[in-house]
Amino acid sequence: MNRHSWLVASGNPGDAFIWWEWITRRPGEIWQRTVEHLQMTLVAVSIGCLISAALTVLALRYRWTLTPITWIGNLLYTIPSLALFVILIPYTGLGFVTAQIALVSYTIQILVRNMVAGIQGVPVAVTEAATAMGYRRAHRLWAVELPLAAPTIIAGIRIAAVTVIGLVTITALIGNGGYGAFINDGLNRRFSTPIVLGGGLSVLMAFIVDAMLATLQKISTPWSRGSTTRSTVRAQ
Amino acid sequence: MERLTLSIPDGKIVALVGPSGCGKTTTLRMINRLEEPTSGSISVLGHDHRSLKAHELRRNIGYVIQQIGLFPHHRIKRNIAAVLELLKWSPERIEHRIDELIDLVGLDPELLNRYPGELSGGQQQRVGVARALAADPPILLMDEPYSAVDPVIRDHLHTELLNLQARVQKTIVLVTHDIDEAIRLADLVVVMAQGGRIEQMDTPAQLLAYPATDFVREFLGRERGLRRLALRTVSEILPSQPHREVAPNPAPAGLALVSPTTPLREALDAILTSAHTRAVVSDGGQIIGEITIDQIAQALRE
Repeated sequence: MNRHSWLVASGNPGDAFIWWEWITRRPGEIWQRTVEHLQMTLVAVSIGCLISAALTVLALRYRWTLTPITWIGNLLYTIPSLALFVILIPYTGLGFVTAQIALVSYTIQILVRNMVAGIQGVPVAVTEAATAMGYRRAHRLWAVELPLAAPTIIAGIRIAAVTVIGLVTITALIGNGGYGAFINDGLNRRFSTPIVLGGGLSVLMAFIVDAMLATLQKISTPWSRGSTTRSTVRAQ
Repeated sequence: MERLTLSIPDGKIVALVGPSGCGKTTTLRMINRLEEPTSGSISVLGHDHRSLKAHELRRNIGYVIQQIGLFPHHRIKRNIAAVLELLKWSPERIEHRIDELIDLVGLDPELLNRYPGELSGGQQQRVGVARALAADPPILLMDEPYSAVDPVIRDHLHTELLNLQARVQKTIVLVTHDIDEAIRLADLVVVMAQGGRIEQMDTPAQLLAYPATDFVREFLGRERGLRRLALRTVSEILPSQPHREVAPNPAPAGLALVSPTTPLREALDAILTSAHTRAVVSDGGQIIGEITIDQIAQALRE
């Protein structure tokens, strides 16, 4: 057998790297795994955003909390996902909740960092002017600071979403479906086609979601097209 | 800041001047409660200003700052309408008011649909003033409003502010480190020293003629005489002699030509740069007299 023969689809599933017929026979399953994968991602990123938003508000209101919040976010980010599963399974069991705890905990560090940076990046003159005009704190956050921080916050969501899409393939190990189920199946049967399929689809989904969020990032700042977003004074 | 007692008359422009760190900005920011005094009281429009909620008080006080602080994500129209939206004006009323405001501050209506980032510094400044005046507040606070624009535009904006004030008669409190700006714009100048101590509060002419302390004299600088001249015009010292043909019409070459409304400082400069010691005063093409360097110097001694 020459060096490249394993790449050729011979019709024998045992030898093929990708057996296309195996894939084309499963549109229903691929669709189902796509939906599962997206659901896992969407839920994790949404919960991550909610928790991070709350932590950001806390950190901005009480400055001293920023350091411990950042510290905990970093700690969560550094725990390997497999280790986290092992720690969590005795408490939350095999399944959705355990997977989500792991996924969400990875998003916190990225999201909080970008949310805080985004809000802090709003020019002081702008927030000051808003306050001086009679904006109340919550209204100012919602109507002035949030829209101006949106590009930075969405940048954080992009990183978080791409990270989570990759990690969801691992949560299949504890029975949550998604593209990881293909990879599991392939590993169990020493059969490369599902592994390549699951991995490839996961990468594809990451690309598409990232591109969509990048578009959102662009259209969320119509004021910055072809000009500066800062309100600093320019010479006439 | 230590003790500060200051009362600001209605409908006047009052300039707070002093070296950086003297507390002039803090004083200004206490008026709209961006800073709170640790002790003492502030009364605005006859009420203790803590009798109103801070955000409600602020909606009655226009605020213009050096960096302007327009909302980059809102078009000019919405920037001007910001306070009106907070006050829940109807869209028709806001539309109507915006028309009045752009007329008042001399803003091109075509700019209304632009974003602040697309405007020049001078244009942004006008938008900042329009926004501050939107709800027709009785009080306007201005913190170094012209520090970031270049001198030519600044001069133009100064004239605009004076014309504007002639129409709206607001109580304007202006913070500046530029004594010339204070003299040009203010009815009353408050010179402050470290710790918010008031060294002198006077009209520009009185301040320049009779500085109360060494601090004020030093702050006014070496060009105090010239600055006084800037406050007076040729017509004030033009001898009221019977109409006499003082120079052939037109004026001989090399002789400076000034008008009755020319500030004396400019007239002096015109004489100094000509080859003579006098200038011809002409009003609408008609020569009505002449002034000399001596007469200008005399004006300072009065």
